[in-house]
Amino acid sequence: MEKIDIAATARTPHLGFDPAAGVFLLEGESYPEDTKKFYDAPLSNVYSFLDLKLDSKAVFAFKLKYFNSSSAKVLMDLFLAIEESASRGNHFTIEWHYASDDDNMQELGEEFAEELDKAQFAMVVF
Amino acid sequence: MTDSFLTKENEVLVESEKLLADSPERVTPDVYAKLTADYGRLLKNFSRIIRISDRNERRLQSVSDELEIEKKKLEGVAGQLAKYLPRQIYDSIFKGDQSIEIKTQRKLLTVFFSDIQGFTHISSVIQPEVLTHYMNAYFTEMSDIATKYGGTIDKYIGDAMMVFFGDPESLGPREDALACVRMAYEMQERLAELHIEWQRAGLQHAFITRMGINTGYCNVGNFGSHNRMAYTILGGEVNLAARIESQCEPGGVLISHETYAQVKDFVEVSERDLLELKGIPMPVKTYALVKVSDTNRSHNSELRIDLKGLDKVVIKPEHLSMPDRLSLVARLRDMANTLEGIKSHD
Repeated sequence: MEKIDIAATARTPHLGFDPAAGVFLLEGESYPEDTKKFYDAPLSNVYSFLDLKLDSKAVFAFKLKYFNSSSAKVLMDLFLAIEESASRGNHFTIEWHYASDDDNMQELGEEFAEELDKAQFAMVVF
Repeated sequence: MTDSFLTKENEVLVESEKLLADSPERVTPDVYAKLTADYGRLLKNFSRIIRISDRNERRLQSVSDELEIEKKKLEGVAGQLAKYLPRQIYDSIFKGDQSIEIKTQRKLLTVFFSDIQGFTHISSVIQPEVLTHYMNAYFTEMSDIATKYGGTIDKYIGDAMMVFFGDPESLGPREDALACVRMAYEMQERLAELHIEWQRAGLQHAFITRMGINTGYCNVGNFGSHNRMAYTILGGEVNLAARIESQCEPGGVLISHETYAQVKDFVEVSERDLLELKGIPMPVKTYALVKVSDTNRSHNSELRIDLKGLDKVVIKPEHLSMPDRLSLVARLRDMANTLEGIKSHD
């Protein structure tokens, strides 16, 4: 499985995935003109990774400043897949990074955390 | 058609509907429990999406409010700046029609200059605050008339005013020249009225104004440095307009032969002797404006009024210069207004 490194634009975040190292990163703002088109290809690799792995470790870091509703649905589906994979014995951590003055991002992270049980959810303030 | 983001949710629905239709007996508590769990997840996601959407909307509203404040600030600044620029130039720049670069072009323009006779003396005998008040009123009145006729107000230089026609908007050389001449005539008409008003208000020294007009090819555009530039006009024809103005009879309008050639069908003029003007190599032919056709409300025969209570009024229009005629019109109008305000003793 190859590494993915998609640079950020004004409307899309930096998306990085290193399967060998077990590191996923989504950073920036997410309101693509075509959300499905932007996320489908890179996330299909992530989903394959989640399906295949057993008893492995990985960190999924999210450092988002803003995302739209369709991006939120993408995130929720991804969190569910991470949770399901974690329930099969994988040691996955989701890091939710938010700015100290961004109450919205903090609240969203806390809401997402409520849905997760097997995967670890870490709130990281910067 | 299902939204591509809801593929999983749609699959749950399709499977459930199929199960109910094909084999309802297989809807066991386990199947029902799974469906309930899926529904619960969907409900949570739906609720979360609504909250995210509402948050985003609030954020957008906040950004929009900030933008509105910034826009109003910008409009305020732009509005202030507009007072320092010819209106047409301001409009062109803000519409994006004019590029801000040092660039000029030659255009056939009609150029107007005016100044107040004896202004140096006036400014030395009137209190500065009083002078400022009347000068602002003077320029406001004159500028309103210039704007009405579509003139580009280039600048005020002390008591002088420079206006041109034909750029950035032009109705054609003849219409531009005619608009300029009509503007000048109306300015003198208005000044004749203002003299009476201002004299009554206490101003002892009337602002008797000379006006000169010339038509010719000028360089128009941005002049100056990259850091500081002015949209203006330059050229011999501009200088000629200024020189003609200096030779104008106070209270009158003097036009060049080139301007006269454009407007001759619409004006009555008095031809002047050839003028030797400083800096102009050849003697210049000029014409003093007598009247403009559509402002002609008099005729040349004697105007006579004989009434009890009125000593005698006899007006001989052909003997009146334009300044005197305009002054008389203003005074008669003022007298009429006064008479209307006096109660009858019958």
